[in-house]
Amino acid sequence: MATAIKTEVDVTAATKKRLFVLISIILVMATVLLSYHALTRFEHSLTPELSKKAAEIGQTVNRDITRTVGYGIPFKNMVNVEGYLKSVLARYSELTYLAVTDKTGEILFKTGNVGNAETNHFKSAAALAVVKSKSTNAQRNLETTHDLSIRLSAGETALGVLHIGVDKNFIQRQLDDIFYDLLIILIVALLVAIEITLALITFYVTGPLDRLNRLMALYEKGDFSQFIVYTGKDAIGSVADYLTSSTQRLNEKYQSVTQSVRDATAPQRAKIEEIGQKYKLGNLSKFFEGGIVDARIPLFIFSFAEELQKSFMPLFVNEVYTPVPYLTKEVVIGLPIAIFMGIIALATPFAGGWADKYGSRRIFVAGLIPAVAGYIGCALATTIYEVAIWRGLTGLGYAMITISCQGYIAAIITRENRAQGMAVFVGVLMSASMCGTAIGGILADRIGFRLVFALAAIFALVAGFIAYRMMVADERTVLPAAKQGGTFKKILSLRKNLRFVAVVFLAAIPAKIILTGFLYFLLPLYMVTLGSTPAEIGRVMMIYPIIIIALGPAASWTADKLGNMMWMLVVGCFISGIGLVAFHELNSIWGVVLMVVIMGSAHAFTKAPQIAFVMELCEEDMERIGRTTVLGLLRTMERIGSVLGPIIAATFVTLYGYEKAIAGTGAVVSASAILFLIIFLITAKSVASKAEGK
Amino acid sequence: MTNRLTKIVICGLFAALLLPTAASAADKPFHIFMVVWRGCEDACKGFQTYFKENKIPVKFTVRDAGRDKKTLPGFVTEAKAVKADLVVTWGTSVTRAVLGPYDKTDPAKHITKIPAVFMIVADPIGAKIVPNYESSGRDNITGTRNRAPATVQMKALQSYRKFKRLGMIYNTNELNAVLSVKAMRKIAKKMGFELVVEELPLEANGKPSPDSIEPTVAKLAKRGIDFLYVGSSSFLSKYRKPFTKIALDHKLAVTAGTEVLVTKGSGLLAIASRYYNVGQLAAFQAKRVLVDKIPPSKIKIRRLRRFSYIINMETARQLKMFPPLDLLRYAEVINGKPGS
Repeated sequence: MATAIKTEVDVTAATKKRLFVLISIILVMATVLLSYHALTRFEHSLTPELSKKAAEIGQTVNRDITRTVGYGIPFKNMVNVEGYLKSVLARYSELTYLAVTDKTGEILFKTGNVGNAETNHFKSAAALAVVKSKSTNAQRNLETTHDLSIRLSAGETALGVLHIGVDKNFIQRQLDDIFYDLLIILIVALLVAIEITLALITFYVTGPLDRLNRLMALYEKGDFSQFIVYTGKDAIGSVADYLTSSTQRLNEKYQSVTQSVRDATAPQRAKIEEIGQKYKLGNLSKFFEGGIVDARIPLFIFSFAEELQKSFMPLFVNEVYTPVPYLTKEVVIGLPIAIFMGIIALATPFAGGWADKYGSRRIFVAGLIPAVAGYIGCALATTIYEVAIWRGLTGLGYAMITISCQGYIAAIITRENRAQGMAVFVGVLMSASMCGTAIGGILADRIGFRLVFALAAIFALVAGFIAYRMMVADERTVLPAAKQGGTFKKILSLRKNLRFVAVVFLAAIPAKIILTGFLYFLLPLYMVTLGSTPAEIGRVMMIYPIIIIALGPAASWTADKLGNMMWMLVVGCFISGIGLVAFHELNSIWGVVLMVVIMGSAHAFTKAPQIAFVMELCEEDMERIGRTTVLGLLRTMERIGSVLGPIIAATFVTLYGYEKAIAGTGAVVSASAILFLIIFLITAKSVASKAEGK
Repeated sequence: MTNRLTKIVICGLFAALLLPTAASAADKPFHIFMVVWRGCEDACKGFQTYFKENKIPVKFTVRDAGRDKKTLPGFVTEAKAVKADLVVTWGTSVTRAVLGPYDKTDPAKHITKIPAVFMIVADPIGAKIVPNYESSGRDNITGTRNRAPATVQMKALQSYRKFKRLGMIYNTNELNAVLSVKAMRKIAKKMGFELVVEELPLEANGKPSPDSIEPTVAKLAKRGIDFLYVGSSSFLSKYRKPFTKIALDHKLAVTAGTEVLVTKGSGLLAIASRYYNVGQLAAFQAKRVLVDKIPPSKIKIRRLRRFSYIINMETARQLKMFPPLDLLRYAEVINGKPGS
C-alpha cells in the first residue's frame, strides 16, 4: 500500500511537469505568433506613417521659406535658417537632419547629421528631379536614413530643394521597444499561467489526491477518526465519497454498538472500547484541508500589485516634489521608499503577533485596508507629504499581508516540508516582483503613474477576495498563547555574539542598502537621465529577480560544494558593490544592465550562505532562544539597510551627482565586506581556541 | 493721430448741466459713447465684441472724427447732452481733446463727470492724460496703454539681430524722453550692450527744431550703432516721417515701442500691442466701471502682456537687414510685397 501511494504521488508530480511543459509551449507559440504579427503590422504601417509626417513637416518648412522669399528676401541670404531648422529638428525625434540645397544640389543650410551619402544624394538627378517637375517630392532610401526631397519654390519658380532625413533606426528602435514589451509580457504570462495552473492542479487534482493518500495512510494504520469532504464529481470524488461513507457507516455502527451494549458486562464494554480506541472510532472529524497553494495565489497577486510601482516610484515622487525644510531634493525623493521600508520593518513583528493571535486570513484581509487606501491615496496625491504618508500606510498593509501568508504557510505545512514551504514563499515574492516591476513600467508608459496605482488597488482587492475564499478559517492558524511573544530579552542577548553582529551590520544590512539604494532608488532616476522610459526601467529592474531565481539552484550547489560560507559571503558582498564602482562611468543603459547583473549574481550567491552562516554562528544561541527568533531578528535587522539605502544614495547624489552616487553606494558595500573579513580573521583565533577548549 | 502736434482747437461751447450718471434700472442697457479718430477700426471692434461676448447689454454711439480735430468739441457736447453712461476715446488726439490734460482740465470743454476710458494712447503720461499708471488722478477716468516694457522690447530686438551698440536720440525738454534714457541705461548694463546717446539741441524757445534731426542722426551714425531705438518721444513721433527717412538714409534701423514709426514711417520694427486686444482690455476696464461699480480713479491704467512684432519689410529690404526665418512665423509684416 505504501509503495502504491508513493507511485501515485510521483504520477501527479510527473503530470504536473508535463502540464507545465505543455502550457509553456502553447503560450510561447501563441505569444511568438502574436508578436510576429504585431511587429510586422506595426512595421508596415509605421514606415508610410513616418513618411507622411515628414512630408507634412516639409510642407510647413516650405511655407515658411516661401513666405520669407515672398517678402523679397533673397533665398541664399535668408537669416538664421539653421537655427530655424534646428528648432524643427528638435521637435521630432524621428528626424536625423534637415537640409536646404540650391537648384544644383549644393547645400546652403543644414542641421543634424548630413553624411557623405546624403551630400552625394542631394546632387543626384533623382533628388534634383523635383526642381524641374512639379511633383512636389521624391523619396530615396539611403544607408541610415530615408531621405525625402521637397521642392522649394516661390510661385512658379523653383528655388531649391528641402531634404528631410527620417532615421531608419528610429523605426528599429520603436520595433525593439515593442519587441521587449512583448517579450516581458510573454515571460509574465508564463509565470502567471504557471502560478494559476499550479493553483488549479493543486486545488482540484494533486491536493485532493494528496489528502486522499494521507487519509488512506491513516486508514491503513487503522485510524478511522477522519473523513474528507470533496464536492467534485470526478474519480477522486467517487473514491472520497466511498471512503467517507464507509468511515461514517463504520463510526455509526460503532456508535450503535456502544449504545446497544449498555447493559453488557464490564469486560465486554472494555473490549468494545478497546476496539474503538484501536481504530479511533466514535469521534469522527473532518480531515484538515489547508495547503500552501491557498496562500500562494493571493500572495502572488498582492505582491504583483505592490511591485507595479517599483520601476517609477522615484520618478513619481519627483513629479510631486515640493521642497521640504532641512532636506535636499534627492533625499526627499528617496523618502517615500525609506518610509515604506521603515514601516515594514517596524510593523512586521507586530503584524506577526496579530496573525498568530487572530489568524492569518483575518490579518490578510485586514491588511488590505491600509494597503488599498495607500494605493488610492498615491493615485490622488499631489504633494510629497501625501505620497510619503500613503506609502507608509501601504507599507503597514504589506507587512500584515506578507507575514500573514508566511504564518499561514508555516501553520499548514508539516515540519519536514517547512524549508520547501519557505522556498515557495520567497519564490512567489520573487516572481511577483519580476512580473510586477516589468508590467508596471509598461503600464506607466501607456496609462501614467496614477492609473497604475489605481490598478494596484484593484489587484490588491482581487487578492483579498481570493484569499478570503481560499485560505482556511482562522482558528487553524491561531497559535497557542504559550508560543507567542516574550523573546525580547533573549534577542538582546544576541548582541554579545560579535560575529553575528558583524554579519548583520557588515553583510546583511549592506546587501539591503545596495538593493534599495541602488536598484530601487538610484536606477530609475539615473536611467531617466539616460533617456529611458519607465518600461525600459522596469525591464532592467526585472533582471535582478530573474537572476536570483535562475542562479538560485547553482548558488546552493556551490555553497554545498565549497562549504566555506564566510568566504562566499565576503566575496559576494564585495563583488556586489565593486560592480557599481567599476562600471558607474559607462554612461549607457548597458552599463546599468551590467551593474544589475553583477549585483544580482552576487546576491544570488550570498542569499543562502547568509542564512546558513548565521545558523552556524549562532548554534548555541539558537538552542537557547530558537532558530526562528534568530532568523527573524536577522530579517528585521536587515530592513534597517532598506531604510538607509535610499537615504545614503540620495545624500551621495546631492553631493556628487548620479554616477558618483552609484559608485559611492557600491564602495560603501564593498568596504563593509572588507571590514567584515577583517573582523572574522581577527576573531577566528579566539573562536578556534574556544572550540578547542570545548 | 497724424495731427498730434497741431494745437487743440478750442471751441467756445458751454457744457450742459450734468445729472448723476448712475444707471437706475439694472436691465436698461448701458449707453457707451465712443469717439474714434479714423472710423471704427480694430480697437473699436474689439471693445464692442467684448460686451457682446460677455452678454452685457449696451448701446453704442460711435462718433468718427475722420482725422479732423475740429469735430471733437461737438462730440463732447453731444456726449454730455445724451447723458451717456461711459465715454470711450480712441487715440492721443481724441483723448487730449475730449478728456483734456490732467493738469489743465476745463469742465466746460472736457468730460469731467461722465466715466471715461481711453485707449490707443501711445504715451499717456507724455500726453499728460494721466500723471502715473497707478491712477488717472481724476475721478471719472481710467484707460489702457499699449507700449511694451523696455526689457521686453530689448529681448525682442535681440531675436531680430544680436546687437552690441544701441543708439538713442532724445530731447532734454521732454521728461518722458529723459526718463526713458535713464531706464535704458540700467537695462543696457543688465543685458550687456552699450548705449550710445545723442541729445537734440534745444532752440532759444527751449524746444528742439526739426532741422536738428539730420545732424544729430548723422552724428550717431558716425559713432557706429546696430539699432536706433526710440523709447518715448513726442517730438520724434511727430516728425516720424522725416526722422525715419533720415535714419534710413544713414543706413540706421529704427526700432520703437510705438507702432507709428514703423507703420506710418520707415522704422524697421516695433514691439507693441495689437489694437483689437487693446480694445478688449479697454472694454474690460469699462465693465469694471459700469458693472462692478468701481470708481475709475481706483482702476490702474492696464496694459496687455502679449505684444505684436511689427516689421516694415520695405525698410528691411532697403537696409538688407532681413528678419530671421523663425521670427517671420509670428511677426506682423507691413509692406511685405517688394515694390509695394
